[in-house]
Amino acid sequence: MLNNINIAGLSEYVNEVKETPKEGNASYGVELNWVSGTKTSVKTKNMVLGNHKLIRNFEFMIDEPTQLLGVNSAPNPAEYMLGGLAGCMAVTFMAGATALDIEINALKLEIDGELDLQGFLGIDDETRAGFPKLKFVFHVDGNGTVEQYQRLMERVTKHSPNFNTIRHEVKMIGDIKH
Amino acid sequence: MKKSYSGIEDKRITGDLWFHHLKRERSEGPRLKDNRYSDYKESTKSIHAGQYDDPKTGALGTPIYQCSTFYLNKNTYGAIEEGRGRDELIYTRYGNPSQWSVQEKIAALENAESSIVFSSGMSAISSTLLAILDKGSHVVSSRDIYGGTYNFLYEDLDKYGMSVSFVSPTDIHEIENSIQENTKVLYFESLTNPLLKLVPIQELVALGKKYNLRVIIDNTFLTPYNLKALDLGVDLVINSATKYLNGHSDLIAGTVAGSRKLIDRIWPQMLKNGGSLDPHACFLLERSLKTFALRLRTHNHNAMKLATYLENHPRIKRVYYPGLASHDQYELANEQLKGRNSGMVSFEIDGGDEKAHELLDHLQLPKEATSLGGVESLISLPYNTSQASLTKKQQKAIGINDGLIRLSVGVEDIEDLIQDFDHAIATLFKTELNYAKQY
Repeated sequence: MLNNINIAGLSEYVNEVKETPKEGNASYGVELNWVSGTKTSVKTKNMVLGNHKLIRNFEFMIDEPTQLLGVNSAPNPAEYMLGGLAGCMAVTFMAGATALDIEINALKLEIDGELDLQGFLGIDDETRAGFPKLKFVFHVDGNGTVEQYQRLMERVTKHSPNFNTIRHEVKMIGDIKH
Repeated sequence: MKKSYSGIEDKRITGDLWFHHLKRERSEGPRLKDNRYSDYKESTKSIHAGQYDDPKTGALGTPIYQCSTFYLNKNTYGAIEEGRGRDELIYTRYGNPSQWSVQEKIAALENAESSIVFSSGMSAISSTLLAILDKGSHVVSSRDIYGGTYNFLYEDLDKYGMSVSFVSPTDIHEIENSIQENTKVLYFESLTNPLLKLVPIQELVALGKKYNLRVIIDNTFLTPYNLKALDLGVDLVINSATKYLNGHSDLIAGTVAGSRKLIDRIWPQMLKNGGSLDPHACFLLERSLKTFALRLRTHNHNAMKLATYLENHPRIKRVYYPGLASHDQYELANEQLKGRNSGMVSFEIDGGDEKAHELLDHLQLPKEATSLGGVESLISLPYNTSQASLTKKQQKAIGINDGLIRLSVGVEDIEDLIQDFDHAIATLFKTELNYAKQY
């Protein structure tokens, strides 16, 4: 299979969802437990895709660097967020490249950003707590043209779920249970 | 539609293509020609569905495609690249016309979109479960499940980070109470071995819907002739084709049938596990299936007659048969099986296992052998065969009492079978014949 991606399977799924939109519904969730200090542990919740449960039996740790009060034992939340964004953009890029019959030998995606901790620390209310800007670079080695890669990058910005979650406003509904 | 890019090849070149443009949709099969016979009844399907007559020679009947590999061409290379290899003939482990032919017949009999044949029932079971389960999944299954399946669930799932709970197959509340957060599959047999308990399939399917689970049924004891599990909403149905589907005790095979979507997920698991069915065995199975409905009708008829005879015999303590009013789930059997109660009968004889062994020595017609579903009657003691891995106490716990005999009633003349039992029991207990009194 080109790029080890099953386009026939993707095509079948696309047409299934066209016929039965419910099959395109994918529910996600995580459960985080505070461990100690800045250290937390995350478990992925089971997904429901269409009408069927998918067991998501994965767990990972989050920490902060020592300079930010942690013990530097795991990536920090910002890195996981950027990693999740990059992973989603990369799989969208790869599937798109495969659909366009482009063989990819290597793909690297860098995402960089700088945030001002004054927002987190509450020093300056005018400073946004999150990243004001993110830069990303696709390093591609394959048999496509620059124009094709440019087109693919545009497609990624349009279709990648994580990219669009970050780029657009998301309704956040919070609650406390105790 | 076979290819993902049919009619949109230009878009692929210009780059103006995204996933929603892709054309390939799932279809039934794979098949050599459209010969499903969907609107026909059991015998007609058994005979005609899937049969592939060679167009070149006009030979009637599916040839045996005894080859391991096929000529490659532009289309097959394209199929491999696109990931639609299951619809092309490339290599016999992936697919072979002999396999497709018998798969089509099985799919027709099961009212399924697609099916796969395997080199054994256990290969079908293990490949199906490994394909459907995710890392960390949990399965709810039956305490009475076939020993081979039990061993796979109990001994091997753990190696993959999965787990299983065994419950009573007849108690829907116990089944529901065993569903955990990580439960993915409800795996049951439609009729259990050897006590012929029924799992309430419609209630099981309702649980599957309620908890977003997959329901998989091993239908070996009933077969699609007696129960169309997929029509009741089950996701996948498995058979040990070694038994009734083949029916001649001369090959080992397994089947799984269901939606093309799910069967396509099992297919790559089969490629990894091995377990594809040899073309010659496919030929035997497809040929045997031509008499499937004919055989099953007689199995059912004979079993009902023999079960009635045994129940009326004073030396027989208890008979287990879904068609008898004495069966614990007689009402469910009526509703679920609609009078097609299988060819399996179990019974307990006076005098325990010792007398049971002696009875088998006196019988002339039933062959004392494990397995079931052959044209010849097969008889065995479960304590020593299918349930041999259990201790006496465990056997008692699931109702396997002293003197229990399992009988797969063949398609011999029923009068001969009853006479044989009558003679054997009379000889065993030094009593008069009973048969003449009743029939």
